[in-house]
Amino acid sequence: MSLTSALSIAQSALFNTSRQTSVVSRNISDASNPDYARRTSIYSSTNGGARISEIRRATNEALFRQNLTALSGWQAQASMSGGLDTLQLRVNGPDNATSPAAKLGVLQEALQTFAATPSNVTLGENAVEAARGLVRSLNNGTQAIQSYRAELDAEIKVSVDDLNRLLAEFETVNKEVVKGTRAGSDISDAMDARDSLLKKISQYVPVSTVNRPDNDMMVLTADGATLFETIARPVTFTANTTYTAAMTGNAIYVDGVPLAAGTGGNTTAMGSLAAKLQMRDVVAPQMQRQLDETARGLIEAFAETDSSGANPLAGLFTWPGGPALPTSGTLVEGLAGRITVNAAVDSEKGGDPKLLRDGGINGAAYVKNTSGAASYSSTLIAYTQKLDEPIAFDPAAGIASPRSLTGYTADSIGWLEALRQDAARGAEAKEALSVRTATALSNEIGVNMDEEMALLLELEHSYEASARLMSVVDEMLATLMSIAR
Amino acid sequence: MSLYGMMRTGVSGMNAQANRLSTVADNIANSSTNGYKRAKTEFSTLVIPSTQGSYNSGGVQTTVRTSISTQGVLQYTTSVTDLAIKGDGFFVVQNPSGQPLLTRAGSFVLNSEGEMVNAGGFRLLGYSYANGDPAATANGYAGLEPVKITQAELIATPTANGFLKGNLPADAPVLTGAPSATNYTQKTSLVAYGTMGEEMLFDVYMSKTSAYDSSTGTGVDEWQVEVYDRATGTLVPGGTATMTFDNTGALTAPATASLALASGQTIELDLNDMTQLGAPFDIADAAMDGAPPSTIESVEIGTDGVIYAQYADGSFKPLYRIPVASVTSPDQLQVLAGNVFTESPNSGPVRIGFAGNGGMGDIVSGAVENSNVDIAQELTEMIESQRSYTANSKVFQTGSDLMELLVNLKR
Repeated sequence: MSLTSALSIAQSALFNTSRQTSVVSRNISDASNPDYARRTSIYSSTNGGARISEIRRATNEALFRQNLTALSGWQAQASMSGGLDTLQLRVNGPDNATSPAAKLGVLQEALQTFAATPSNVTLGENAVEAARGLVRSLNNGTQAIQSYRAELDAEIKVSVDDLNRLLAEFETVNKEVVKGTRAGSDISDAMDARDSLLKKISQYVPVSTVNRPDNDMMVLTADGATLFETIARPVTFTANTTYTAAMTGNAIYVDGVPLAAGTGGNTTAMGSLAAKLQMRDVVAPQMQRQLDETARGLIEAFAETDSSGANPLAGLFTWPGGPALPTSGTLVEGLAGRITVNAAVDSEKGGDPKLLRDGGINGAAYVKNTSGAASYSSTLIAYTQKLDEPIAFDPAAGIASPRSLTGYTADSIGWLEALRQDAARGAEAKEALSVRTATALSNEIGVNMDEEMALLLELEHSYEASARLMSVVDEMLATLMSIAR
Repeated sequence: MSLYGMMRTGVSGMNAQANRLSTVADNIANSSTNGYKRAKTEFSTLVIPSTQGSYNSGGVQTTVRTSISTQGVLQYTTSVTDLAIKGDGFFVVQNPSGQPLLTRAGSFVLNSEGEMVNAGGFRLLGYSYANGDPAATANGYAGLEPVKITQAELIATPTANGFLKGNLPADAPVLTGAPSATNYTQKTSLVAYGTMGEEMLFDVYMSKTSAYDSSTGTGVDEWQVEVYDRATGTLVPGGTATMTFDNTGALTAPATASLALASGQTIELDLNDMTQLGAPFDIADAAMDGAPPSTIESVEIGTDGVIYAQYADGSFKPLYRIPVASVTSPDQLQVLAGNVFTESPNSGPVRIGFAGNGGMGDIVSGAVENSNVDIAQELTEMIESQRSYTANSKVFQTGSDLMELLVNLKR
């Protein structure tokens, strides 16, 4: 028995060493792959020499879950921060020369200049031009906000399609894992693929996982809706191609349960989908409401009263519901998109800018400068003062009321900036957390090149030793053969 | 006393060594035969009555023994149908004419009929699971049939049981209006398999229907569970249950929904592990048994000798159980061609049991048992035998020379 069994043990040692070498080389080749977890080979001893019984994959469930959560948070915050930057650039930023606040300043200045020299018709024309600029700013702002919402819908649709594709892939990989576990084959690669898919899914929606027997996994969103259980659940969403201010967007359904949007600048949203919903349904509409309230304030500030000081009607600025004024202190949705410069004063539409100085946009009964004096300026002065007088705004727009119109437009910028700062600060913190957990996870389950190289040296030696053993046994048998002649 | 007697003794010695050399030759030839058991020769004296003054040389008798009970080294392979026994016992196989035999040569492969056949052409026998859990017939081959694995067989297991384990939020407001598929507090869904193995998706809606009022101390926390079939969007008959929670968040009474499907299938959905604590909605674990229709993907053999079919979805089903046979004196079994053994009068009757039970060895899948021959031992024995043979021939030659001398006395 002895020599033959020594040979077979040496043979199995060679086999083991070569298998272990293949594990080490796999580790080294995937060292820079962030989705790869380190493998180790586990020995068990048998009567014919040791045998590699399993290839074990390094895992740290707690860290992995933490990493998923951090990833969801960061993705949400990054989407949020990016969205707010877009709104700031397109509509309402402090350095934005076309923002309603800047345009209102221009109008106020033009009115003051006109009031100083009321006889100068060119200055009147300038004031009307400034009013046109303000209207353009409000109209364009509305359009920008609504087209941004439509863009978000398109982005959400792409994300949802991608999410469904990821879930379908997850189903395939999960099946492989379950089957491999039951059959006892090496499932490390499938587990790597599954973890990598989970990371991708968690960028869209926050996930919590339930481990079931045979390494089967159930994936739920953080609020309990099923994403995957044996089969992938559908995530459905219908995108709107155009938006108006009064429109509400469609919800994203995960297995029939609507996905909740986040709240706040340092958003509570997890995953980019919830953050995009928040931008579309909360932030952008809020901004729209502020523009609408600005528009309503303008119509109200430039309203004309008749000679008795009663029956106010829309003056310089009017709207489709004019000449009646919109209800004071109540939001009219989409007003900023519909506000216009009154045709009666708009020289481009055949109007007379002088009506701004004299009154009478709404007919003879509303004429203030009854004597037709060229130096009459009290209406103009009243207008400029009105802009700084506090008026009531709808609290639904989210800015404290009463507030002057100039103050209100400045506050609107301040509101967006505060939100943006919150979001930027949150993004920094959440990115740091995500990077930290990823590093911790990689330290725990990643490949350490030094360790692998040391192991490789060891393997080389043990291979040499086993080979030497074989040659010694071979020599012994040869000696025996030479005796038997 | 007689020269002839001495010559015959030399011949018997040569015969004995020739026998021994034959076993050595056999052993060396079969040193790589899986399941081969080394043959060895034992000698005993043959004594012829002698008187005080005259010695009659007798001879030597040869007995061939086989070291059947000595374990060979296990060699691991990559085929799961390669089997080896670690410990005592034999596989029960059948020759083409149907006679049951014993062997330890376990390099089985599937033949065209799905039977497991070893290198000697013998079919493996086992007990079928077709009629429930098999029991070994202790003292005979009754009930054994050739193991037959047909890959094309399709099976499906309909769901019978499921469970849902998780937490319902204690602070959820009471639902206004009757609970339905569109009016609910929380929802989840589960996959089940029908009588034909078809996938069915059930939506489980949970609605809080009443709440405990801490200010007045009245009312109970009650949740209504409704199970809807997603394909039809209708409430499944029997798919309702009421969960009532006490003030520790545990169920006051067991809650189970018994889904009675149109196909006659019933599924028991166990809700006994649901809690109602002051935490968000959460599913901690949920599952339904059953399996979709699938074909045999591969075969697995456990150390207890159960042959499992692994289906494409990964589930297992036992097909056969391979018994392990043993006899009182394995070394006395009669050896037949093809590494098989059969009972002899001296070996004792065959006992059949299962691997790992009552002194029987374990079945190792993915390994074969090498022969228990050691070349070094055989070679040394061969040299020894060669020298003995030469010595015996010298005895014969001496007798012959003396005879020649004797014959030449007379001229």
